[in-house]
Amino acid sequence: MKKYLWLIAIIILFIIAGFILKITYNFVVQSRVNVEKAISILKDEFVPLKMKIFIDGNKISYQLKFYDLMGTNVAALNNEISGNQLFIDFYVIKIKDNFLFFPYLIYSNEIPPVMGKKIFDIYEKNYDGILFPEIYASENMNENYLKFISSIWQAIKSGNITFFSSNYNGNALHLLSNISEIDPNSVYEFVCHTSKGGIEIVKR
Amino acid sequence: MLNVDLKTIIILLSTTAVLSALYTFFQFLFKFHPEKKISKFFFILLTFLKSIGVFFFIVIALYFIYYIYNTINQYLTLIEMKKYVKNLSRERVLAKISITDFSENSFNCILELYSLTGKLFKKSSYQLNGTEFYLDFVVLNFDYMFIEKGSNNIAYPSTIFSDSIAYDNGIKLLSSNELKEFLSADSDKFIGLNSKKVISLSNFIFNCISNDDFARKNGIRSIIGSALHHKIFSKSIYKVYLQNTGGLSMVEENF
Repeated sequence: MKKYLWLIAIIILFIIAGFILKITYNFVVQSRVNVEKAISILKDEFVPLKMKIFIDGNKISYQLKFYDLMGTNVAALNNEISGNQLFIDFYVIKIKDNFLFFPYLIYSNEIPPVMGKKIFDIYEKNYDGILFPEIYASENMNENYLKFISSIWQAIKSGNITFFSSNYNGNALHLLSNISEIDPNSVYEFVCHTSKGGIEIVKR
Repeated sequence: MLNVDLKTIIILLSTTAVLSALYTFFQFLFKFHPEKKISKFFFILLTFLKSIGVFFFIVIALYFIYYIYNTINQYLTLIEMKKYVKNLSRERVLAKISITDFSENSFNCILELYSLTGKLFKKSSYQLNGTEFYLDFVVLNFDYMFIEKGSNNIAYPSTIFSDSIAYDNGIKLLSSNELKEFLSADSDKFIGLNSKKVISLSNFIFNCISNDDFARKNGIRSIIGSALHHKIFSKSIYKVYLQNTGGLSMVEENF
């Protein structure tokens, strides 16, 4: 019996190694995000943000409402800032010929971006420990999509987006108050074009 | 330019109608009831009413002729404007920024602005404080009624600033004269329009930029600013593209 002990030990070792390999494989496969499948859930054009604005002298009062891909209001923000032009800054990230948009900063013509107000947390939601930007919530959302968006979200928040995609930039949009009629009753929509990477402000 | 509103026209038309009614009434009395003696005063009044009525009628007729002429003229301008916007909104490179040097809190860059055919329009060097450059463009969005939905924007470079420099303290990229030149640059390369027309239409756009009322009346839905920016990590080159749908985008040029 002692003669075959080494053989039994080797078999047990093989079983354990196989078991570890299987667990690792499952972990890798499960944690791997299928980018194409996740991107297919995105819409070609969507409105993550709507704005109401009132300018009184050198003070801007603004109301921001955030919307998910289904058009449901998911968060809101009311605030004031000095200046007469409000800048809404978006991260624009290119992944596999598609663009993702994340509103992240607010400042004005008088306040430099470095002193702007971060608006990340306003539209963030916790899905069982996974932090997710609710503007990307969709009726077709699955685990793969949730992981894909939240991984980008984490990269942006930690300032490591360069490790995720080398192709990204910021786009700060602002209404030119001397030209556009700033109507306090009007709603300005930020229309994001997923395939082109552009953002427009449309007055409704 | 003559600017007669609907209210004035209605007043003129109703006055003409009242005068015509009075004239008809007195004519009826003259012709069919000669037994009713009408004084000289009424006769003079009638003649006066007749002349005023004719005058108003001529005014209204002239206005309608002018209105029709103006509508046709506006329609022709609209057709030309569509061609102009279509030319200027062709997908193309608008600007190129090269980071030539950078430190912890400042950077040097060379900015190149391009005209319609991709020719270099202006090249300048800047030194700014900060760690992130911001290139601001003015984007003119045309009314959906005017041009197909979501397409055809005109954009021109406006300001360069940084993360530590507020927009108001940034550097203007084009003077008024340069902007006029930028909008009509390569006028001989416009498809379907001659140089003269291009210059006249670029003046029209220039008026839209400087006068919001004029802009709104002439099919411009909104004029917005779009500041594209990027953190500076290395001596890189970035290109800003104008897209015929969806505004602007910036791409890092790879070697």
